[in-house]
Amino acid sequence: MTGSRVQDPAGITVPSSVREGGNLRIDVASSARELSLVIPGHGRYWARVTNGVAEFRVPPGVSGGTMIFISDRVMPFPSSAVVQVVSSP
Amino acid sequence: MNTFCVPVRLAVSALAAVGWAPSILAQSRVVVPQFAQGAEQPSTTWLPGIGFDGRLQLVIDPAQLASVAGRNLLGLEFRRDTGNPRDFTSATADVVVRIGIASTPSFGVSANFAANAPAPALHYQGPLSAPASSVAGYAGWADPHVIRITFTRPFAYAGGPLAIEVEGSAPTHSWWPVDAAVLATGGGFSRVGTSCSPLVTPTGGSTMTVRDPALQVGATAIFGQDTAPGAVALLLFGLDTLANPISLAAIGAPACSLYVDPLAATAPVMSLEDARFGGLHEYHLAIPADPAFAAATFVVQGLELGASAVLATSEALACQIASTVPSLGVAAVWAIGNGTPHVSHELVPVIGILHD
Repeated sequence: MTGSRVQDPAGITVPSSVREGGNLRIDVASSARELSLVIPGHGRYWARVTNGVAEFRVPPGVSGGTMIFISDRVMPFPSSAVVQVVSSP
Repeated sequence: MNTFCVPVRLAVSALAAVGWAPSILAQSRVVVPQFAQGAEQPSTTWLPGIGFDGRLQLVIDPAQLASVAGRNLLGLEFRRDTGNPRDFTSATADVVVRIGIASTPSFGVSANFAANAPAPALHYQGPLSAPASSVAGYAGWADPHVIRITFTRPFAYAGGPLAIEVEGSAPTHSWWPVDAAVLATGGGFSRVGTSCSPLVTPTGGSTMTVRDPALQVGATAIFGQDTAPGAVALLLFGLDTLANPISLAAIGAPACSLYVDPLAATAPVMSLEDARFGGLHEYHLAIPADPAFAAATFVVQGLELGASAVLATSEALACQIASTVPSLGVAAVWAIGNGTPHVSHELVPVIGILHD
């Protein structure tokens, strides 16, 4: 993983990238209990928030270059973020 | 003669002339909730202007403020959340702080700012700075790990429930979560059946969610429903599930079932579209501030009309309200942006109130 991104509104923050099959740690400062993750071509996933942190393992078959879209769905201004999956060496 | 004392005396005299000397020279802090004084709390939240544009009203019970009755309140402090391992960057926002006596104790507040505090007065308007704060240097209420608002005029607190409102905005928002206390006991829910929304994936089966800690008497239960883009959403409410779910195949929804025995239906308070995530819909259910509702149960299920499916349903959520009355001694009313306000008893920021 590299660097981190703070979105606006600053409800969630994520690393810029995650490796294929890697663990994605998402810091959550909003009141969200679950995060919605959409992986194009693979579907929709949910990640439970515990003590301000959600963890998500990139599913098998999600290859490098894929973008993961994340939303905390907190209305009326959901925080969203994008993480890029990078190939494992 | 100690030459250092001369300018100090002059400064004290000048401050005394404008009536602020006692405030600045002998400033103390009372922490709400009291049990959070020296203990990091398990959750986190953020402040208007720093994390979002909006408004936060805190209604504090007199018991929390007994030690400052008859004193002047001089400012507010919010400490960083230690559980967040990131370094926080400095941030600025424009905020307004209003204070007044509340019309109700914390258990009894509604999602109506004016009803809770009919006549709050302005005690600060101006910039708010959040300092850069690194994890390594963290130490409770010490700088630079505290966001501090010093009132431009003190609030003479004589007693009674107190309402503090913070309204803030900023061109951009920053990562500066503050420590927050939570209720030890929350409500709960279980999912009944599965969603037939076009959004559901093989790994999913769910398009409805609720913040279960918020299932408290006197609080706003908040439900979220995901739908296909462009769909209209509706929430069915009932007291129980159907013994035998009703298939909706006959009305063109072969994979869908009605799980709730509905008594009423309500529209979302907020809906929006996002091309990546579909439709988001939020429903608010105000649970009465009546202990008789403790441990009560109810069921909700979402409907989805139009868009890529003529009719679809979410799974049902069988909900149980917490069995005890909220006990933090403070309630929060949140309004994010121009969104519909909601009452929170289960999650409140740890507040430091500065006084003379």
